[in-house]
Amino acid sequence: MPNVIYARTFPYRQGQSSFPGLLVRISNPLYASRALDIDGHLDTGAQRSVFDGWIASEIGLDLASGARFGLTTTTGESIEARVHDVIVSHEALGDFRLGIAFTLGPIRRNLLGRDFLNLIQIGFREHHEEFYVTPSP
Amino acid sequence: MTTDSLVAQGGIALSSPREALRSLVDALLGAQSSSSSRPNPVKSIAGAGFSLGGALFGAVGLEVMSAESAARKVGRRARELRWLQTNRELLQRSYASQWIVLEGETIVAAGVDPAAVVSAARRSGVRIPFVHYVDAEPPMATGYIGL
Repeated sequence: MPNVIYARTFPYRQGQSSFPGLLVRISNPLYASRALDIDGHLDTGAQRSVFDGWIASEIGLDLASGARFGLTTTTGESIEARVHDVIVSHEALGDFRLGIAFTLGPIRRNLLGRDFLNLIQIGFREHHEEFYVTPSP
Repeated sequence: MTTDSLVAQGGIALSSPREALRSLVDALLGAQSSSSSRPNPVKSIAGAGFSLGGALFGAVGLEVMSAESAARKVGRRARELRWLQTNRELLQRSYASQWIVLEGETIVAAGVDPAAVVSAARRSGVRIPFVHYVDAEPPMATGYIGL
């Protein structure tokens, strides 16, 4: 059984309900000053990170020009998105270049999915509402 | 050596990583401009393939920080996060179902259209807005899944 020593501890964020999330900075790879800080919900069930399309536009990307990508929810609903490479950064974990699916329609929460989790080592301790991260997969 | 052990060596008595995080946040509230840019290089290139990202990170290894740098890093948006935590009633009362841009302890823009809210914040001088959605109190017991 592998043992992992984690470098960082994060408490769950508190909102209407508590959730495992990270406040991340999303920025345009070409223009770092075009950026904003926003919550990303960690979602081990999401194959890919998904953010609302308005964020892509806000950091200076042409949303429609990205590669087409379809998302299917647990209810079977389909959501169309466009993929753009962006920089996702967290002050303690570092900077990640990630191809995020930006939705064409509004969504309620932005998800950091398995493509993000693939770049780090993460452990959840739900009972304690904490998660642990080492910035190395 | 882990970050926490280094922080402990820096002179702060800590009994757990969680306490370490909280102590640093408390110690540093207001100490850093939340909009400052960071010159850190990109450590991982996921777009070119996940294995590449892993290889680069493997080369970098654990992020080892001094107590000072660890404390500085914890500071980004610490004021805003604490303000959100301690003002949930106010947010529910006045900003439910709205997006807000928070700078320090000041809501600089709010509204239902996030792009408009962020634009208003930029016009008011905020270079990198911290935008947050205030979930409305649900009418019944509600759980959230995925999107």
